[in-house]
Amino acid sequence: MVVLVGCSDDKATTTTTAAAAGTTAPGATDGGTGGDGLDCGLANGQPATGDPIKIGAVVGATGPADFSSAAQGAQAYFNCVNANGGINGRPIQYLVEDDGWDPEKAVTVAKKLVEDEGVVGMVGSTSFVECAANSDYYATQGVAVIAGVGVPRECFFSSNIAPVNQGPRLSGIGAAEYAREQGAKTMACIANVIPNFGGWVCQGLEAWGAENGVTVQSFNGQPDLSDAETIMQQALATNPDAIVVVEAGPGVTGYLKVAEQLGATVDFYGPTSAYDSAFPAAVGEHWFGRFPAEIEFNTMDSTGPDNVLWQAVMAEYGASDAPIDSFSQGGFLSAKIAVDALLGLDTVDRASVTAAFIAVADYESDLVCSPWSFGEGDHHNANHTGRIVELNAEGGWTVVKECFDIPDPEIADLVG
Amino acid sequence: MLAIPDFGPFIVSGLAIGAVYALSGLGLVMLYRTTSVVNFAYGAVGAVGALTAWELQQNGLPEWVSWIAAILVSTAISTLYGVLIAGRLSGRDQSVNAAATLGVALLMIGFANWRWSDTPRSFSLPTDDFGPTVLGVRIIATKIVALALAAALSWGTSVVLHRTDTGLAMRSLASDRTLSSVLGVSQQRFGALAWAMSGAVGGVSGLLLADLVRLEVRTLTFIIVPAAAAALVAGLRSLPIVILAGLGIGLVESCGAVFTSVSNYRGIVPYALVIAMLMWSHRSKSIAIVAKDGR
Amino acid sequence: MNRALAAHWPTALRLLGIVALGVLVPNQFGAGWLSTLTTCVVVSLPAAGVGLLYGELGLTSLTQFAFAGLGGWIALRLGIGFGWPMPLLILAAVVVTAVFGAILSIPALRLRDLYLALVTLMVAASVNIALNAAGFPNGGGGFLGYQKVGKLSRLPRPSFATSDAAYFRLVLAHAAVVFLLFGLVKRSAVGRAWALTAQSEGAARSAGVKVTQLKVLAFAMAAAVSGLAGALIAGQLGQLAPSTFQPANSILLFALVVIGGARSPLGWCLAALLYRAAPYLLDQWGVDGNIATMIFGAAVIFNLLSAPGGMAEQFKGAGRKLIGLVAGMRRPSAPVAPDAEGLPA
Repeated sequence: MVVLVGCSDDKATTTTTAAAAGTTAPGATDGGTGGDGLDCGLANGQPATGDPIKIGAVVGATGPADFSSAAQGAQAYFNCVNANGGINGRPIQYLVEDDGWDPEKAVTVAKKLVEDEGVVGMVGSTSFVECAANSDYYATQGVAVIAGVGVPRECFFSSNIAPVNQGPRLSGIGAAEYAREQGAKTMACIANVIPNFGGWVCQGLEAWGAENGVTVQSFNGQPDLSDAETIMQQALATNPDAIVVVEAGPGVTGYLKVAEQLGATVDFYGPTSAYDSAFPAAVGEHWFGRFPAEIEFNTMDSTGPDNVLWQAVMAEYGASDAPIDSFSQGGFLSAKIAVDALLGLDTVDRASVTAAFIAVADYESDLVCSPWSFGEGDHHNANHTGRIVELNAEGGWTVVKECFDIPDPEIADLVG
Repeated sequence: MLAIPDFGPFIVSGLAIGAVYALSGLGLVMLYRTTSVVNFAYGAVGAVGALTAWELQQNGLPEWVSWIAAILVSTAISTLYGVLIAGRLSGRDQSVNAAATLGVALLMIGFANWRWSDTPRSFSLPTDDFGPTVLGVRIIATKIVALALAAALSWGTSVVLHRTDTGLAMRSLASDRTLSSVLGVSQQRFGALAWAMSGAVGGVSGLLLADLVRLEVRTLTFIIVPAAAAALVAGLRSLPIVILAGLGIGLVESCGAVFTSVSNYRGIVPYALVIAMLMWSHRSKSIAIVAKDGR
Repeated sequence: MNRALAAHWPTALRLLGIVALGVLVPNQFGAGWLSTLTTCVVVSLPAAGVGLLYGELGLTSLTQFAFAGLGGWIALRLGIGFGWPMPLLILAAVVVTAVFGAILSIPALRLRDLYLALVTLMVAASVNIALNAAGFPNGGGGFLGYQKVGKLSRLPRPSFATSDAAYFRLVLAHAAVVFLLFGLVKRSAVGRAWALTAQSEGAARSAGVKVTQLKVLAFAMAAAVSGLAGALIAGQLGQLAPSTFQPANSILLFALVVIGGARSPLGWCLAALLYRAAPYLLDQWGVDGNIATMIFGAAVIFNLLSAPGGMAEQFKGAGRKLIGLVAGMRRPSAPVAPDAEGLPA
């Protein structure tokens, strides 16, 4: 049996075979003839061949939803960097581990990456459970995490984790703020019941509502949406002016479908997870011209240099089935910030990388409305400025509100 | 909130989700009565069929072709399991048989997530576009179809089981495998037939559930728990009672949502009621002198 | 060889084996494997509970992870809320889950086989709904000890087992004690009464066996070891989430215990290894998570088909043959092992 092999497996075998997991062999992609002309890292067209630099990520790939999009975006950028000179000649070996939405697994794979693989830092992580499970561990081990997409609260309230995104709470409040501008006075917040997620997200809308004269009622459904219809009825029963659904992309789709089936006429608003190229076709024409979403990064067709690079990198170096969505932009940005930090180092080890990550300040990118920083302290939410896009009549997305500060009372200490 | 809670929408919604439980519970009981296996993979197999239909529709095939394909896929998977595996496990405990179907469910979940990566998608039937409005809630025709299908299946299955030779053979196999075999009933043939029928019904319900619940393999797989609750109320036998129990469970679960302070716990209520009911109905304790299969 | 000595050397060998595991595993394996194997040892506890109920009494319980979740909740609530030390947390988790287990035995006294399995599945689903709704205690106030916002509190590990290696040994010691106790009970009058009850309840009753009390005891024991496992996971991770304790995990554990061998401690260990180490190994080999799920599902079916008595029996059979060969004794090959699950039939 499989297991017995595993039990007799010694440490040496384990670590060598582990390199195969979710990694790309250095310089293996694209032949690296230097003809891509993409501005990745050193952008010199030379495949990196030196001693690999290990960077890790923990994502929730298998489970109620696949949260590996950001890591796939980061992977594509690292591939591009490796084909363009790497980190001063050294390729990045990107080790992505799945936590299966289970904190026990999240702890195990983090230990594997940090202690067994000796990663110098973590980039592009996206998980519902990982931050709470590992935040203290990362602090103890002196590992810094530039998360692609932080989801629950602990991703934003930990000394060594700084996500490049806003988080579901801010994204939801951003959507609610736009709904308020459209005249909504009473709202319902729908987010799943997963502890440290749904309650925190909707509590954010309630706290924001209290300060802005909006009544918000919260409804937390099952993560697999098995009770979506009942939750929707609950929300509709309060007769709100607007309903904000804060879920992963497939979750938002599910709730909108239920609302359509129930013939709901109330206005719906969504977070950045809805901003996915597959989303319009999934929800269907019923929602064209009537579904605004807050986005944490720039529009996917924007023409700034970083977004154009993201598009090109995904086309050239991304997996053929890698999602093209907001989270992919987040993963890409986290990887780009990490590479720029690494390129400035003389010696690349965990201590220097952690220091370099934490020292990132005022990082300019057209992907985010305001510059991004990591910084010291236990609270990180540099990305707190967003846009609103609306699903237009043609099934595309139109920007209806440009960059604005998201007024979450909880981030008052960061906004100053 | 209103001073007097308005149950109206929750009753309508509860009956709708109840129809889903009824349909799934029916599928469980139909198979159980013919093979004495409780199939944890029932929802998963239906979901794989529905996902196949979705993919074919994305490739531009007509809807009816995709529906037939879905039913064929579900039937094929179910039959394959019935022929290759279920037959060889027939001498084992019912719990072991049920546990083996969990293996199938895992196989389906893994396959579906691998083949159809987790992007936003949804599945709609033409019956979504019309339907009446009751108690201020729009009821799409798909929900009515689901309930009608459950009723039709319940009737049809009873006819097949009690009025045909095939039905007699199936029932005899389910009640005593060894004895029926001795009497000349082919285990393989009728076992395969029972699994094929279950797969076909699972395929049809898979399409409806993908529309009414969600086109997601895990969600559709674990509808099996409330469905099993409905099946238990019916003593794993009576098909009409499965339908009533399914509707009842949906109703209780949905109406619990009116009480907002405890509504996150409301899913427990139907299970508690079902267990209490079973305790009551089994209150006269019988002692098995000679343990027999099924005990 | 001296007969009395011969009777004791397997026990001594086992003890030696456990000590060897405690010494070797933390030294020979990396952090990832150590964490995985710690979980395996923890999971061997609920697996032992399943094995006890199914192997000895022919009862199917799908609540093992639900009770582990309950035990974990209690440990976090008392540990974070009141700062109780680990031994007290374990005691509280064990006692409370044992009481709940005894309550669950009420359906078991009236329902059998599949009915019981499905009822326990509903209980498991209910516990998961409750855990999702209540959340695990994280430093908040009130009865639930859960807060939506605010700093996340963790359960600290006991001062004598802060390192991963020491914690592995702590968990191993607990498992060893439980396995020893289970073995003693199985060989006692209670164990013989269980066996008789499994064969025929009527016969057991007429022989004066107090069937009700014995079933309650079995359920309480199975639940208590799950509660112990929950407290140990809480200590291992510091924080918990409901996804660790899903009903599907309990069904899977049941299947794996049947595969491993419900009646033997080796079978329980195999089940625990299959539960956590096998998926981790597939991950190490770079197998995609979804493909791994498929392989796992296929393996469950295949092993249920191929080893009715469980893998443990096959190993023992092979072991006996090997010993026979080594000793050069001419005796018939090992008798066919009694069918673990067929026992009650």
